Amino acid sequence: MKTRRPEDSLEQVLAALERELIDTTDEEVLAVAAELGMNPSMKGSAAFLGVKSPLISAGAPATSSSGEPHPSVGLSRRERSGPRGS
Amino acid sequence: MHLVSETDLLRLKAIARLHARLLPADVTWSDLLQEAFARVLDGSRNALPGVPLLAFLGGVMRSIKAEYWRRARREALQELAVIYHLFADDPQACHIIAGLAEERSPEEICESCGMSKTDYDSTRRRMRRLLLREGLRTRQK
Repeated sequence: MKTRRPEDSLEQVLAALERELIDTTDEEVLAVAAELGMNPSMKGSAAFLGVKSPLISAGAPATSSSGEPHPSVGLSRRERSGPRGS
Repeated sequence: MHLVSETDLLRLKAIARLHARLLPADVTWSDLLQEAFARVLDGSRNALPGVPLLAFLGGVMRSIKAEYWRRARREALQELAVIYHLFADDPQACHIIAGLAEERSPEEICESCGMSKTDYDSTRRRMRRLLLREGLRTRQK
């Protein structure tokens, strides 16, 4: 039986869970935010507490249904996460 | 440089929290995320062609976290236990985590624990939602 180093196993698990999060649809993200009583489409939403991105475009929408579509809104899971193992 | 949407920011927040729960108490998920942005912007980490920004930033966060681990010499087994604890109420999720740790394919995981493809997909959906809930909640760490 192959013996695996714990740190390798941990890396595998974290990378897989990270991919799950990247692959989450916008709808899932917004549904969970709503469950937590948050509305990411509102300015100053608690969902963004602690998050400041210098890479976000001004007025980028949280969903594809509000305002001008942001280039990354509506990307497929594969387009967001790239090829497996990247 | 591609930009991220607000929904992407929420995904990144959840990813930062996933990694930060295993970091020293004085390093927050926000520190991890900001450090990743900083490294991309100052050019110390250059995005690889063809790798989407979200996946790239996730990789940068993993790399930063690995640096902390090396410094802190934390035990990987202890960290794995933390992840199992997160899914402790969901035995099927624990089976999937165990399979992932052993680099098993989804088919192998289903076979080894008698899970159907539907069960597997439903469990993954529950796992995603739990990770998101953990990632979006307002408590700091």
